[in-house]
Amino acid sequence: MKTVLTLCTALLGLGALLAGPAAAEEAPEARVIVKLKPGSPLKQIQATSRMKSLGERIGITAKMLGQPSPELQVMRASGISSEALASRLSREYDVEYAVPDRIKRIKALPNDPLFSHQWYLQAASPTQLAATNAQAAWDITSGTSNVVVAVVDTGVRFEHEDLTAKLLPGYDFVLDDLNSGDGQPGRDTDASDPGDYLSTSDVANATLRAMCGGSFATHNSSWHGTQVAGIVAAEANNSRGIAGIGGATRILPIRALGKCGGYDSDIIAGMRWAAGLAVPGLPANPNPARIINLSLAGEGTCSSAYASVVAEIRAVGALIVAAAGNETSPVEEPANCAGVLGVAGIRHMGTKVGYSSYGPEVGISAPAGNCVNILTGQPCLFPFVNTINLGLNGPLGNGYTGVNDVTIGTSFAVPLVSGTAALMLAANPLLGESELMARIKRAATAFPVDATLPTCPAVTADGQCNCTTTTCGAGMLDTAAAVALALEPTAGITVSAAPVVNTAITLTAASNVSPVSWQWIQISGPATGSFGSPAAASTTFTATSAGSYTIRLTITDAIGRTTSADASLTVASAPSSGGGGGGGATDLASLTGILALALFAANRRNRA
Amino acid sequence: MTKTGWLALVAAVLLGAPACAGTGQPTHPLQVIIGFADPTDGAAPATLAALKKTSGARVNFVSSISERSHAYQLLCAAGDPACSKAIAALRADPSIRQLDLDQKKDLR
Repeated sequence: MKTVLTLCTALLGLGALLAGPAAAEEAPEARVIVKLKPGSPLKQIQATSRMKSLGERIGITAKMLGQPSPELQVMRASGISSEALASRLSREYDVEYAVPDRIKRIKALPNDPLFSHQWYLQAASPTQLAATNAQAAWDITSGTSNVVVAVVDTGVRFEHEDLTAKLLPGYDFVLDDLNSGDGQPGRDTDASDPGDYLSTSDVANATLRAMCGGSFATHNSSWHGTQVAGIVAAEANNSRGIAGIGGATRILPIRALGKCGGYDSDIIAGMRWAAGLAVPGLPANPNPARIINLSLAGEGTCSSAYASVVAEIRAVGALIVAAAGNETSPVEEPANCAGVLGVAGIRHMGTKVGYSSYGPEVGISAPAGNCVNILTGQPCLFPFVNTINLGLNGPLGNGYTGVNDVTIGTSFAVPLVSGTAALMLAANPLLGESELMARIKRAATAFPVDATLPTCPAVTADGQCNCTTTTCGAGMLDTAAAVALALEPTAGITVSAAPVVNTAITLTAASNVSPVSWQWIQISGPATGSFGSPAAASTTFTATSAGSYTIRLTITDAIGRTTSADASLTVASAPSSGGGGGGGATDLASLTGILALALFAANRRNRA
Repeated sequence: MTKTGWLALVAAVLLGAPACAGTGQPTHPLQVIIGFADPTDGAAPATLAALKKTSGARVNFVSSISERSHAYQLLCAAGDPACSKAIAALRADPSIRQLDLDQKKDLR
């Protein structure tokens, strides 16, 4: 898929935009275990000099770090990854093998006492085919606090012991005071959840009854936002409660649902603010989210209001993940909007859970909780265990849902996907939202088939069926595989200046790996331009005619993986030389050149 | 009409009207999201006046979503033909790019 981001802003904005990923990169440090062949001439020199000499032979400065045995040396070098160095050394005629000297960690389970009940985070097995394998993903990355997931929901309980360290301040978007019930007029800075209960007096309130509509009866508070936030980011290894799937990921709580749900206008405003977009009258969000979690839905097709906000949020690089719905129905709004990663719910054995909505708009399926036993007093067996407040109405003490409670819903499948995306971004901050979505889908596990069930869209009386890729998305969420895929090479192109005819600009490659080769080519344009260094990490490009050009960068890493990125450049005509000096004012042509600069990472294609 | 008939009618009105009011579903103003073609101060009196003139309905500003998108209450009940007419008129206005019902979502 080709994505062209046209920047119609001044170059200062461009610089700021491009500085982010580059700043996040660190110079790699390589450690490789090397075994020389018996006939290697290097064996004729002292062990401490062998690695230095071997390094010089391949053009790097290296030294010996250690000698685990007489036959083995550990080489250390800067500016190259362990994988790349091992690959280059392996090609030397006198090297028997060279392998990265990796850090091994104790494969201990998190010490959170309820972790053993979080079956959905464990490895898939014959008795829980749908488990997400998140535990194995944590061996790759434990997440980062730099990645923010916005939970657009009922708000959170900030004092929850398993969440308090992971929560950003957030914002309350519930405008209607009756629906809000927080005693604070309109929108405010307090995203805490006062409880979404409906009391007897609430039910007697004609205005609230009119606003809520439908079935309107008393109910206890759900603490839904606190539950969803915990699935993403409950603190792990703190000897308390549960572990969140997203490791060190932080949560931006956006309160948009009240006593009887939330208006689209509040949800959409909350989504915009969460992504860092301006909402009139509100302060800017200092912690924009890269992932927006919507464990909410309503019937209807995707409205133009949602379609617009989805497009705007995707344009700033945030991924939107939304619940398909619990109605055994067509996918609900906003999960049915193009560009949203819709999540359907599956049982522990990978078949569609009866209540989950389904359809072609679903992108991925994940465990949503299901009860094997449905008789009163018998354990549910495959529910979620979530962070919650124990108050029936207003907040009391904090705690966790019971291991035998019926804690289920596509709401809880969504944060598993959001947390997975957060781990992927921790592993590779250069991934864009479309790449996140594509790699989550590519990493998915194929749906199993239960011979006793019909194939979706046909369902049993209780809504179950065997999932297909046209009804339940690409497959079952595999968090470890998705995080591993996140590490595949990515490429990007930075452009030094607004391109002008016959003036060289500098194009620079960006990648999450250390490439060993670069290739710059022109794909299209009104005339053939020239590259200064078409096989280097950075090159000049000079266009001879004004117009739109597409430039492609292809990189190859040390183990032969390639990926490409395209940049679209709009080259402006050379500024007029007439007039004898205009006092430095920007002429129209230059301004056009600046404003029409278009670039960047498109058509990224990975070939293993 | 006979005197008895009049008394019966008055009694029916007196007794029936409150009863109808008690059993009828209370109504809530219809809420919509309007996306304007250009950046617009959604709460400005001039904007509200223009919306009222176009729709023929009383319009209350609710909230801003972006510089071009704002939520409003149309002071007519959903299902009321006057409301449908107001919405159609607003959608036909060239200064309005899109109009959606501001519906409710719920946790799943």
